Amino acid sequence: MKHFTVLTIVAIVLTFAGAASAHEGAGIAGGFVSGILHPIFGWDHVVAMVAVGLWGAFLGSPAIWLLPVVFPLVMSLGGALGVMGVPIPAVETGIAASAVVLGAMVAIAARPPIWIAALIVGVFAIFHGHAHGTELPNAANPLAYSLGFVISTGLLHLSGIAFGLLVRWPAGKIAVRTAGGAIALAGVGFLTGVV
Amino acid sequence: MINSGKARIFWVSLGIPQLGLAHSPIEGIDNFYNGLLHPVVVPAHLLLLIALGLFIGQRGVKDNQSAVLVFLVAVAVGLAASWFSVGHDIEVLILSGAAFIGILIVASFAVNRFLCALIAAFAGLLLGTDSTQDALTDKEKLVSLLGSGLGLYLLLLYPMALADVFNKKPWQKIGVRIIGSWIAASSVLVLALSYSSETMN
Repeated sequence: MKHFTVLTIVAIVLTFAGAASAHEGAGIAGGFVSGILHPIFGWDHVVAMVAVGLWGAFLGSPAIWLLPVVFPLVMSLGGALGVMGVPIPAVETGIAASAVVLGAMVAIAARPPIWIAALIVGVFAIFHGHAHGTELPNAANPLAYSLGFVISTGLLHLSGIAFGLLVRWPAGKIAVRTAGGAIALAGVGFLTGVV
Repeated sequence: MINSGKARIFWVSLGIPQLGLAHSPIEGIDNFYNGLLHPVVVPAHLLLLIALGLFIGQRGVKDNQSAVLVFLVAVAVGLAASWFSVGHDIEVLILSGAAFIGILIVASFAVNRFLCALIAAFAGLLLGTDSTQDALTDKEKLVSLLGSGLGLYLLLLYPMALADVFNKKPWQKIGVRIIGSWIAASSVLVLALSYSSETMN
């Protein structure tokens, strides 16, 4: 009977073990890791960031580096609005629309002047920044969190640029434009709620 | 009596979160090493140091040796000021400095030596002044400040050398500018957070 009681207690305690995660985000490291993971855990963020890199690589220099520089700078302004509680209408719709528009730009091989490309990317960066910024006050370490998500965003751009460099070859150009089309379709899915 | 005891526990518990400040010494390591690690464990310091190092390196260390020396002197002056506990709550200034220098790195335009040295002086003064560690006094504090001085100087040298060495090929220059944009973006976000916190309070 005594053994039975002990076993029961052990079994109950084991069911609680899940709550005490060893990887709980805390302090500087926790803030940084949760910042790194925040953009990666959202498909809508990931495809839009990759699309920025793809488009930059497709347009060539200076867009290849200018767009990934413009994005985090404008994103921080959107984030500042989110942190200060300034509402922006339809943030999630704006994020989904960014995937549609940026993906479509790559798919149709659009080559607007660099300032228009920067403007389009900048406008969408505000929506992405606002979404990240609203999470900032809850972060374990806000500065480490913001550094994490800015670096994560940059690395997603880099992955898009790396794939986008395939445009040097005819088959690669088709692959990049197809990837842009897939991103635009995913954006439509986000907008309609299918994905 | 019970109420008095509860009130005491309440006030003591309010004081506990302050032990978790970034400017508190790390337990288990000596004071010099604590000071040396201080710029590493305070993210705002690290950001400003990386920004300043990249900024000087981007413009060429050989042409801006005066900025490196001015930084050293400014850190020493700042540390001396921090001995008297001057400069609490200047993290906003440090982040503003990091954001400003980050933008200068992105813009990558030519800055004359005097302005470069002035920026280094301002950054060094801020970092030195903010390097005092809570709960340390007398000799322990002095040793910790000496460690901080060395840590600040060493941590400036690494990004500065990297930006100076990787300043030849176009992709290297772009890489430095992108890191500058990341520093500026992160600093702006946390500045907004501190501004909104102050507004709410």
